[in-house]
Amino acid sequence: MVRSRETSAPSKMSESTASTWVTVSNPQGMHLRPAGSFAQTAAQFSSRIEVKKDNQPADGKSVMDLLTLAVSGGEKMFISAEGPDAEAAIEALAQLVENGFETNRQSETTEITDEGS
Amino acid sequence: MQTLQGIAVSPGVAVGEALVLDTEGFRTPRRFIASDAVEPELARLNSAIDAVAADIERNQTQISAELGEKYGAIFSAHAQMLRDERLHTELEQLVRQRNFSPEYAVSRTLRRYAKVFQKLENRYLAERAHDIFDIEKSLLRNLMGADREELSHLQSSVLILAHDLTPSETASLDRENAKGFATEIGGAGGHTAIVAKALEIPSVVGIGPFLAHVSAGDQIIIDGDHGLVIIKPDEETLERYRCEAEQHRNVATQLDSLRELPAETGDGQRIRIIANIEFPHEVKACCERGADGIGLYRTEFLYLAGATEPTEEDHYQAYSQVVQALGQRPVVIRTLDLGADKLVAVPDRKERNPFLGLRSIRLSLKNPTLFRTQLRAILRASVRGNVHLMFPLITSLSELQQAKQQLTLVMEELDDAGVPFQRDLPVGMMVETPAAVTMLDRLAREVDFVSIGTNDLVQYTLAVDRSNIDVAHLYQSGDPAVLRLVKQAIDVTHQAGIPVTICGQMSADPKYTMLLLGLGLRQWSVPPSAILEIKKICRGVDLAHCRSVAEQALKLDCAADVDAFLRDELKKIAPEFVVC
Repeated sequence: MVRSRETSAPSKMSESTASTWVTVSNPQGMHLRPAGSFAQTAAQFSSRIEVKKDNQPADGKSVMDLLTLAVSGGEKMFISAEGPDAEAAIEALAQLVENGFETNRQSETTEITDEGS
Repeated sequence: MQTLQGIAVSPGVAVGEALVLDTEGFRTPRRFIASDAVEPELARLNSAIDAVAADIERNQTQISAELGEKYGAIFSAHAQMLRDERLHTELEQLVRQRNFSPEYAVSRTLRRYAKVFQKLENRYLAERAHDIFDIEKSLLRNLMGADREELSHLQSSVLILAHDLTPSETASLDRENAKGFATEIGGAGGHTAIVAKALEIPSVVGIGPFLAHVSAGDQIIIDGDHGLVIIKPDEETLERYRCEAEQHRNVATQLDSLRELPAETGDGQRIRIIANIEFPHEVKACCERGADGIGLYRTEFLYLAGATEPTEEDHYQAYSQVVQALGQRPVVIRTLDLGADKLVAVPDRKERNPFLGLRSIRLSLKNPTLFRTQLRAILRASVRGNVHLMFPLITSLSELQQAKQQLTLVMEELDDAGVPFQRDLPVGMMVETPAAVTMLDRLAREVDFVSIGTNDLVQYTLAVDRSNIDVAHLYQSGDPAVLRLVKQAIDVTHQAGIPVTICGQMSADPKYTMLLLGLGLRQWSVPPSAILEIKKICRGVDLAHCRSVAEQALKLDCAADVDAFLRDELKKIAPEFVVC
């Protein structure tokens, strides 16, 4: 799985932005439960989190908003975060998506890559 | 002020306060709050969200325990949507910044989301719209609590505005306080139209989307004569309608004085006026207005009101009630006259041309069990009074014979079971197709009476679907082709020596009364609301004049000419009945 990541240098120590492209790997796409996991994970961070598909933006902390993107399996989406914990948020969310949105059960087969940053 | 045009289905004018029914029969309450009420209203909203969330959690735990985690997860979808912070923010903003009531904010926001979901191509996601509607419903139920008003127990006189009214809603309606209907969908032959006519309250249907523009409690005018709904009328309009309502009342008072008098032409020809009814409770209105009997007891309501097919006992009870109330006066019970789409028991197959499809007597003949249940009940009720049986939409001799054969079989069954019935009960048929008119000399040999159903006859003769807005204007009862068929039908029944009546809109419209008298009609079957009007016309004319009216009308070339001519004639004797 290819993942590119860009992190801009923060102007202040507390504010930073981070973003990444991810490919939704589970066949059903980001349906209700995945979107729920995503929003829940996003909510753990104080940064503002935005998800875009085909330039349509959605609030990363809102299940309803995320669902309206209708991301299908195999499609790409762009996640960006802005705030004190932007990097950590992107890290966690990218991992979540790559693990097929499994939060409770850590997938053992998925290799957790950690590049960039 | 906003004026909307719909289809007029039940005459009269009603002025009053709006009760807006949402889907699921919810009353959408007031839409705005006072600005100093924002905080308490937000508190109310938040406690509703908490309460619904707690309910969902309880359900989730319970279902998970009973059926397993997988089923419980269904509720976690609801829970997650409900916990959505963005949703909370949106709701709060609507209440705080735009002073929306929490109910209205909930309804608007969730419906907007549902709409977005419904448009998604992904079918799985599109179906999530249901989850959103569910949440909306739960929140509204919680917010409204005891304020939720049931249609069966209205607090005050209201005009009911709805997307559509279901048969069960109209069946349980509080008749004292519902003063008018206006619906977004529906047509002239639809269910709401039938009920409104039966209740004799002004009604307009098929208005198109308009509920978004009305708030509960708004003043509304429903003009059932012209098919208009006026939202928040100005003073001038209101005054005009008040005058009209006053006139309506005056005409009604005048007509009231005719209750006890016979329907008789100026030169002494006795005319029989019998009534069309849908519900047993309408018998009261018929008797009060001196109806000579029931000319058309429609039985469709029995099939539409419940979730299951009516039992023989359901039929029997409904019929007995009417038959007994009428004593020795005749009650013509018509067998099922519905399209296949309306029935639970019949597998739903889309028909390309429902009006040319499996409906009415064809449906009964194709479903003998259903048909015989009704026939048994009619026969059983026949010992309780003067019952006549009538088959609808007979098009050919063989259809009539098959229907009669079923009747004979049911009679034999009853004989075997020792159940009493009136063996010689009169059996009639409706003439509703050009084919039936053409073959009426043969058909008449097989029946004891005939009733001309002009609504269908017009549709089939002119090949017009009057619910199709593009061709509805072509639907004209006064079309010369229709008049010729009606004349032919009356003439043939006279030759055959059997009674003929006309039911349908033509007989209830005072414009046609003189024409029909002139064509030789002596028996009218009309809604209870029209009994006194028709009686008044009959009492004001003599047959010689009517014959000349008929003669002249038949010479005219088109419906518009016939209409103008008959309108002028009516104006001469009863200007108050001319609707402009």
